[in-house]
Amino acid sequence: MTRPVSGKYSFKEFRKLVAEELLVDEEEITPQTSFVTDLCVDSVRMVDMMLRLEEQGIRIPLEAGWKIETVGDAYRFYLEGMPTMAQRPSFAEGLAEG
Amino acid sequence: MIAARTPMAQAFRNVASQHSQREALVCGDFRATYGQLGEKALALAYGLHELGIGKGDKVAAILPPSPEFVILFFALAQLGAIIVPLNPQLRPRQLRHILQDAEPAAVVVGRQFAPSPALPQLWGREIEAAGLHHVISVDDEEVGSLKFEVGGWKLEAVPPPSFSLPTPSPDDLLAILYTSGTTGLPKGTMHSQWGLVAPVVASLKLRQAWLERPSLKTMGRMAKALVWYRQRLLRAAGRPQVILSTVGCHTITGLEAMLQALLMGDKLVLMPRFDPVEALQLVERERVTILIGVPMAYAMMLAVQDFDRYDLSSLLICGTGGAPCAPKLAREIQERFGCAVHIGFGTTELAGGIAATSLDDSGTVQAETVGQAMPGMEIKIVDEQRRELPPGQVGELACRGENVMLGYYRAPEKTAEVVDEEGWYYTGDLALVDERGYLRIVGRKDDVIIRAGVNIYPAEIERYLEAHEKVKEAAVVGVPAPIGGERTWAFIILEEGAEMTAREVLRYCRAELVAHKIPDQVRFVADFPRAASGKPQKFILRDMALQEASKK
Repeated sequence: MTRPVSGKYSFKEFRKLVAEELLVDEEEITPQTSFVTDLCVDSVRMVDMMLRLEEQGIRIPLEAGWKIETVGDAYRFYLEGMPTMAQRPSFAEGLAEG
Repeated sequence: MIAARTPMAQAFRNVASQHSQREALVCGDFRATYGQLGEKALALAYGLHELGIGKGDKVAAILPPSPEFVILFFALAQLGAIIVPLNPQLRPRQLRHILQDAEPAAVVVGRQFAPSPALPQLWGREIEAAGLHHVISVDDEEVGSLKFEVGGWKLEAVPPPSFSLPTPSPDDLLAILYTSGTTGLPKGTMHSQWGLVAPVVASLKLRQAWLERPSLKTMGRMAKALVWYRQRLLRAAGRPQVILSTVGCHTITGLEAMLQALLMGDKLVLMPRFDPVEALQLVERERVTILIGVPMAYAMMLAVQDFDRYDLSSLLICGTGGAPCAPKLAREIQERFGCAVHIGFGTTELAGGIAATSLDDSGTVQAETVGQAMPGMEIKIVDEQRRELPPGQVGELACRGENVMLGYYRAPEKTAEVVDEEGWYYTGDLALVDERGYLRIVGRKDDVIIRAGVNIYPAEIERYLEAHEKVKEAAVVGVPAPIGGERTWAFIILEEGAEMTAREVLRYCRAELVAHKIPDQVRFVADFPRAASGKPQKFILRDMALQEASKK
């Protein structure tokens, strides 16, 4: 999926990317779907997913990772970022910096 | 009863004279009593002696399970010589490595036993390159372009009175068995004349407790087994058993099966080439009571179309080992063969069994554990610092007993890594012993996947995957991830005709497995790269995964 020229991915597009990364059916995912309880995503898989999403142009701030419970949360952080953390590194940059 | 520290040569002479009229060996059209087997082994010992082979000389045998192998084994044992049994399916590179490492004085081959017509040519090339003094053909046929001694293979000769056999000591080296190379190049494990008899004595004790001289306590337990196996147990009790071994004699499982039968005075039935239909026919024809095969052999027999047509009612025990046996398969064996299943656990380094289940163990225990320690075998579970762990905790399995190998051939430093000064052998297997003393194998120490600091045991995930009706076999490996730690890759072979997607596999995993045990990647393959024993070579699977990951 190519990144939209203007603006951001829609939730449906975002969901498709998440489904592809986690090898689940798109239909299984709603904004309320929990990464931990519904999709069995642990912290390692979450990191891997966020890194791969970042390759697709979906940047989620490093700190957000620990606050994400649902797919809807992840989408919100992607859309809104974390204004107070605007200058903080992205997920991948944060990892690289150790 | 075999006395403690009886050398192999003596143990065989004893049984051959004690049961000289009893049938000992059946293979195709070949049938021999213990007396005849003794005579042939003596004749061959003489033939080999005439070639100059004697005490301490090594002889490689590229032979399948066959009368030729049996006779050669006992001829060499009586000469005080050393047998190096090799898998006829060895690829040239492995054969070259072993011949260079073992430096045998002679090699015994049989063109008729070659698994493929092209192999003798390849054997010939490697044998020639190794510069062996003697090449002995059991069928007088050419092996590649080699000229060989035909005089060495004498089964009918009557040795002159002047020919006397030496008296090997219990500690003399008798066999060098090469490991199957699951983790790399094969290593030669050295076993003594007594070391290979000791596991038979342990089994004999178990059998006497069951079938010959049961104590009151055993009789109480036996009542339970009687209810389960009824006529089968009554028919087998107190009589020589009929053992069909479908396992190659170059493996410790196959070699010990052969020795279990022939040192106990039982009848041994051998198959040079495993064929599932022929195996079932032999069980029916020879009224086999104990069937021994690797798990894959059982899976092949169970897949025979008219399986239920065969009369398998003589069977009391289906024994398996050599590779992990999935509980699903063990239960199917119990149900369809209608007998007990014994999953033995041992290693080449220990010349056979460490633990085995018993007839009175419940079906669940027989299917899910490898039983309790064999008589004379001490076991313990240790942590990374080799400190003993309490029951229920997973650690490395260590064993001590008289059947521990003398060491790795020409590799004392490798021996020192695995055998300590007190004689404990550290198996590299991860296991736990439960409160009742039952041993469960969790996986290989080398195979443990460390994913974000959490240890994951592949065997647990493999067992779960294999419980799915569409999954035939699974192999799970850890692959280093670019950002650190390892990721879990599941390689899956599907049942014939079955279709499955990675999503389905993961959905199935999410139903029962905790998040960190769910594979990160799933790949379907037609087969695994395998060691000669049939075990998946996980280091190759790991390389395959690494290569794929690096391309991304």
